[in-house]
Amino acid sequence: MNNVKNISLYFSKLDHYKIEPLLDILNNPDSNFVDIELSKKIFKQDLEEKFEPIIDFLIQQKFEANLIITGNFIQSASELRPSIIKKIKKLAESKQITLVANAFYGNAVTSLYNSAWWSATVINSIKTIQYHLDLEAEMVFIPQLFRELELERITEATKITAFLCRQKGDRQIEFSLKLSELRRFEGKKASWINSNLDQECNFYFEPDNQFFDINSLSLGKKSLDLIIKSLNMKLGLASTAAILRPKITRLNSSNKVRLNDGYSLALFTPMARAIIRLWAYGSTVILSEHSQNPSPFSQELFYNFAALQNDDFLFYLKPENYTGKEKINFTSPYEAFVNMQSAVKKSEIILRHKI
Amino acid sequence: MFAGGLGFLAKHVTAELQNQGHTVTVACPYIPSEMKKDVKAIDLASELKQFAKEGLTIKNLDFKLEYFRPKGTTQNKTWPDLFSSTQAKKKKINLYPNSTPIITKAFGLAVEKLVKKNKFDIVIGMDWETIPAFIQLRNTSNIPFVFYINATEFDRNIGKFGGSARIIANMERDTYIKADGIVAISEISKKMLHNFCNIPNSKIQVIYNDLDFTPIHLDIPDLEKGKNVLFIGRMENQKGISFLLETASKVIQVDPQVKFIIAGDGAKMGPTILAVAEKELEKNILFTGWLGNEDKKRLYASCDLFVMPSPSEPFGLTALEAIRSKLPVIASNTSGFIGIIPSTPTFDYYDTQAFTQQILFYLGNKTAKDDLLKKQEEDLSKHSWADQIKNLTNYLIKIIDEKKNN
Repeated sequence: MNNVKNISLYFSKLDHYKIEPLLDILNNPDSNFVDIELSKKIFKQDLEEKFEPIIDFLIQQKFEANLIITGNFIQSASELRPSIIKKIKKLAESKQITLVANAFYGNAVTSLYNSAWWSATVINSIKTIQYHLDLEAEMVFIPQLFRELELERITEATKITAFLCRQKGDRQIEFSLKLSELRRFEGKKASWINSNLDQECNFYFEPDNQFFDINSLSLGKKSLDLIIKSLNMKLGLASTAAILRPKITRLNSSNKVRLNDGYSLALFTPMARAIIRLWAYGSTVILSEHSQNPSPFSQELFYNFAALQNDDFLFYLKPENYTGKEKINFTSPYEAFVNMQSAVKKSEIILRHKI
Repeated sequence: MFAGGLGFLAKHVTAELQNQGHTVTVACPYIPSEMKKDVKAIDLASELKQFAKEGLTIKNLDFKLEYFRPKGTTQNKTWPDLFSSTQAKKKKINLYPNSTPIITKAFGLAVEKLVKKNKFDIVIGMDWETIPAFIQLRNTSNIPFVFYINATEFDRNIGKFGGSARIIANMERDTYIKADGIVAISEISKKMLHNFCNIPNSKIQVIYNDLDFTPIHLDIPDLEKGKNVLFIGRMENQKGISFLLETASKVIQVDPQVKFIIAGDGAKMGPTILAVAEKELEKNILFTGWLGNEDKKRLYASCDLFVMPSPSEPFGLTALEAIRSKLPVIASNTSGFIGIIPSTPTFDYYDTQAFTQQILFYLGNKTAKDDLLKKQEEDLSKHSWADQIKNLTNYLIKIIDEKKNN
């Protein structure tokens, strides 16, 4: 597969949320769930102290990596720290990094239950990358591959046919598959995948030990030097290991690719599963209204709700991320859970008020 | 300063005693500065600090600091967390801080000093926290002493009864029986005190609780009234939160429109949220966290049924608040308030099937729900706090007289 690297770095803008008890939301449903000012302030700090040093490290050490990046990250970084955008562009032009477009708000999880919504935000990210970097993303990030995932929405609109997925374990897997082979249900081909749509797609599965979510790695630790040192070491080790002992399994038509029809939440924690179910529920409620009465308002709510479903929120549901606490405004995963529950309720109320 | 039910009880008893012409002095171990103008009581904090510096020995009382924190820890050695202004502002304070033995013993010595300086006819101690005061007064004077029990440690620690809880419970068992009298807040509480502390029934006077509560009938429109079940209380084993979740799961299987609103905070908050996620109840169970009075009143006005599944609820003032807010109540048969609201439908706290059936029945039958509320309002109208306090006064006078005659 062209240009795919052995290491993946996941860059996203971590939103910081307001602590909003249910009754406050019920009394004032129009208030913002995300603390925009705080998020901006912390992201600016993170760009300077975390993301840019990592980019500098890649430049200095000539490490190659896939850079999974959200449109929101690119847009905010170009406003707050343009130097990082220039460096990313330079790295991408020299083929040292491969640009992997993620859903605009980091809401890749929406691909599990709402392909249309997810693909719209991925396309938005690809356009943002084009606008700010004047480059094309080469791949698209997907959290899970399953037959119901409507990849034709991406391939048709963008011509990108390479997808990167994260997976458990330490083995890289690569395979190619025609869309007409992927989109089969109970052995039957999907009738709408005609010859115009049908394309060969490349799938690349990055194992956990070669996948680095920068926010998860660094948040909670106090010394930035330590973060960079530890990341450098991990990146160095993973990259060397990947070069010396490649564990790549290349599947082809002779060893059949086995895929589930639907998505699975088995690898998520119970609280993350509950939040994803709530997001899926909220999406259905909002979209059902939008499909019946499309309006600028429902469109806006649709995008706001997509922003809410940031995968990074799942980060707040892990107790181990609360050790340092200095940048987390929740006191526990439970508080984060209740806040998201209330935020979904708020979206429902806003929808009800306007219709 | 006692938060929660005990604080409200002390305030309410005092107000009515004063209303009936008695002179009452209330002594608190600490009153936060921002509350001083609202709390009409003597703040003994400076005396407590002094006694803590001088050393704390109360003859005949075995209540060591090590009972509340492991040996060798140096935490809180200087002065209790409870008295630091930053801690006082925090909403979440442990039920008892590590330094509880210091606070209660210093309070006991400060109370003794206060009693020596004044001429009181009788001393009323609210709950076990006043046991050191009782023992110190017994060591040095003959003043009548009555314990007014809002809850025993056994009530507070249903399902997890070890460590400091066991030490406190043993102290209660050994001490209450030595007092001149005991006031219980319900027949259920009286039974608990009789069975658990071996106090003769004749020595216990039941004074049913009450509270000042003016409901508001302004609901929260976005809560969509119709099938909202309300639980208000500390998230502790005592309140039966695990039984509520099991019941909610069964109710939602039958009627997915039902919403459970859980208002309160406490040690079981985390496990409760995790259980909600595991049982896939996230769409139907909503958490409000700790609520102020106005929000609580609006919540009463926005719900359809109030539930109290406590394994041990000495009284349950929230049930009276609910009824006064026109919200019918169902409760476990171990809830003390049913002594004055006998029309309340009850269930065994562990019988989640019966609990489920009652919720579904009342949510689905408006006439039955309205009838229930009517009966509960009738029962409550017969309850007079003034009469209860008259009974208390007569009981206290009887004890003072007996003491004089002995």
